[in-house]
Amino acid sequence: MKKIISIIIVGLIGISTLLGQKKVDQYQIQVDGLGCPFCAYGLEKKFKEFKGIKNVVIEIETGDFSFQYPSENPLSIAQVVEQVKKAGYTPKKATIIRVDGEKEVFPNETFMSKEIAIHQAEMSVSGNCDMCKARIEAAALSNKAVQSAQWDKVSKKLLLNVDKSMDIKVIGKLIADEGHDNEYVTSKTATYDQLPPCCLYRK
Amino acid sequence: MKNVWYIILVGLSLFQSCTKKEINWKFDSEIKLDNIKPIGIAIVNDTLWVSDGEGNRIVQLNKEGKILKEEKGFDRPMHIANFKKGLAIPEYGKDVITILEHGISKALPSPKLDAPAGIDFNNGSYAIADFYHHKIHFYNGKEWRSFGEKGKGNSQFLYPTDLHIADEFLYVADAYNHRIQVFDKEGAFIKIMAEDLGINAATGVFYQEQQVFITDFENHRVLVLENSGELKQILTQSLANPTDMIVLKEKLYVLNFKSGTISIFRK
Repeated sequence: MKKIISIIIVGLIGISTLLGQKKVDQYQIQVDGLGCPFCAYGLEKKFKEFKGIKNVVIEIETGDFSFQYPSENPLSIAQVVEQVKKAGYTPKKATIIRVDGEKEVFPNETFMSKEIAIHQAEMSVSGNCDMCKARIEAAALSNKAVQSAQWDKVSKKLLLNVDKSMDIKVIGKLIADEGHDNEYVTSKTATYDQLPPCCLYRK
Repeated sequence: MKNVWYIILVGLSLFQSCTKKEINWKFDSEIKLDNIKPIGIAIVNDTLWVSDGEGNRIVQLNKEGKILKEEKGFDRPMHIANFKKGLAIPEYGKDVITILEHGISKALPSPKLDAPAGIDFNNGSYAIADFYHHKIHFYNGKEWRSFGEKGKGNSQFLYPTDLHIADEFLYVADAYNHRIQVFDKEGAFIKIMAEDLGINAATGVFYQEQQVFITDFENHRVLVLENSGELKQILTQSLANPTDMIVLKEKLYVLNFKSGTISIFRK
């Protein structure tokens, strides 16, 4: 009889422990160009404003940023990507592992089957640091006509391998929309003002 | 007679050049730190203490860079300062200044902060660089005075990261305006320094003996200016994203965030 009671008690304790554990989704993001500690720790601090966020870890060297968030109030990949961008950073890759094991990934790769004629183009783009570099290149690459984009922070030149039929001004607009003045388009002041401190290039 | 005057003039010139001592800092050595991402440096009892932003700790080092003592549990400790017989640690992530004395931690009462990045003490007064508020808070021994707002003008800041109280004045590293601003202890603007020297992120400032030292984070330099504002020297050897510096026994210790090292220069 004592044995049965002990088993019941242990079982009840086990069930209550399981019920007490909150279910969380795992969020893993890779951010480009986190060179400045004030900016990097600022990203961490902004995300900590989400109530319920746990185990925030940021590694400046690799740009890896991870946290846990309650699964009963899930964030979508789009929300996470947007929040990182709002904080002024460029998400390179994001993964959510839901509590049921389901995985969501950004970016989704789409297969380009159409063959295009590529040529090299160059444009001047304003910026300061490695975070700017990441943002500028990501903005350019967001257009499928751009095969590669390399921005040099000393010369302020963006070198593109791009579809010959592409109007470069369209790329300029995308870059300006992210806060970076270029030889084709000037960024709106409200957009520029949202950049992190180390990216504020205007004198 | 003319020859006599000529000799006197030459003699006076030579005398002046001998008495006006030019300070020239020369690279001495580099210390490799053990898994430390250094941000701030301070001296307590002639020993160096460094804040480790990644490790969320502060460490006491010997002259070879070996860790003698470690205090953990801080939330992104930034530019630290000597406080009486202990240390003041701005905790960027927690929005507090923690005083560590004789192994005991306590919060320093202060105005509301948003990511404190630097603190300094001098003769009973102290000041805090409040990063996201773009403000400086100065305690004169009796009361707090807060000044500054976001902007590019005089008495405006763009993310201040460090400061140094020297005698009658307060030197502020106005990091993303890429300059130093100088104030008196009432918060009145005095002058701007180094704004035309091509700095990209003035993250640290240190004052000693009429010299102002400034870390130029993105350009991997330390600028040495006279208090008049005249640029005297640019240090570059072994520097990699320098964040802070201090002088101890005629040696200048510069923290390098990227490489996790300390560059040492001597007069």
